[in-house]
Amino acid sequence: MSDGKQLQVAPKALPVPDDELVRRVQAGNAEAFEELVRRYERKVYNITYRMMGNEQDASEALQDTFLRAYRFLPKFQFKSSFFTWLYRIATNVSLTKLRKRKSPPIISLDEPVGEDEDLPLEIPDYKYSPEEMMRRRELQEALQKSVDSLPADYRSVVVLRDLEGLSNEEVGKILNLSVPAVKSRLHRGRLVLREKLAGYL
Amino acid sequence: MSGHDIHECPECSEFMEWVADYLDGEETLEVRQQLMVHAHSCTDCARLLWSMKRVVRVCHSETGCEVPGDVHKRLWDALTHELGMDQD
Repeated sequence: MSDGKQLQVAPKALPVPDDELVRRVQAGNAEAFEELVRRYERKVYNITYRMMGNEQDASEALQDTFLRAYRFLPKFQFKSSFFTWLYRIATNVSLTKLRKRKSPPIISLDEPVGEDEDLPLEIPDYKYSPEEMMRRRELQEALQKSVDSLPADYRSVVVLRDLEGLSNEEVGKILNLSVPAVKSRLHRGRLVLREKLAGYL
Repeated sequence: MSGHDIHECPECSEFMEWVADYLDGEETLEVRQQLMVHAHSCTDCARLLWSMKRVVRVCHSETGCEVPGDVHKRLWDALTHELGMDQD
């Protein structure tokens, strides 16, 4: 602002809080639900993908989560935050699907078949050399395989706590566990991951 | 190489209990000091501590993935169908 004039910048509209959107949905406004979906679609997909280990199952769990959320939202009583409630649905949907899974994980036809062309879209990070990028990708794949190998109860804690970055208290609320129980499962889960990732650490 | 079974050594078992708090940054100063003292005298526990820190760091560095286009489309198709039913 070298000419001394002050730029008039229109104040950015603050995002509508989740609770307000929930109230609007409860009052019959479907568009408010669409906004909630846009807000949490990626987060929920990451939870279901980490829990299920493949795109096909994760996609189904993602749909089930939001359809259930829509169905049950009229009964939401604001006793917890919306995202805690939503993540609980996502985790429960995934756990139910995992328990029903009697055979090894389904390999989706949409999954990469080994060539780079189908790898999930990643924005290149030019901080890293191609070698480092390759190493990171290998590590990511190894991590997902290790998470897949965890017993479901440990997996849900590790996914929410270490991969989604929630606090022990939030994970406890989502999974209906005490904080010491969260910590105990987390520690055991991490020990398993450490063993599985030994060659990469 | 492992000189002894860390599950049987009382000092190492205690160490294992502290590690969880340490990894979450919830350890007291006293526990932190005890952890460091023990890690200096026990190679197995030092290795465990180091590798657990790496595991947590690897997990925390994960930024997650974008929703693939077809997954996004299937979700919104399902929602449109569901919301449409409700609006009728």
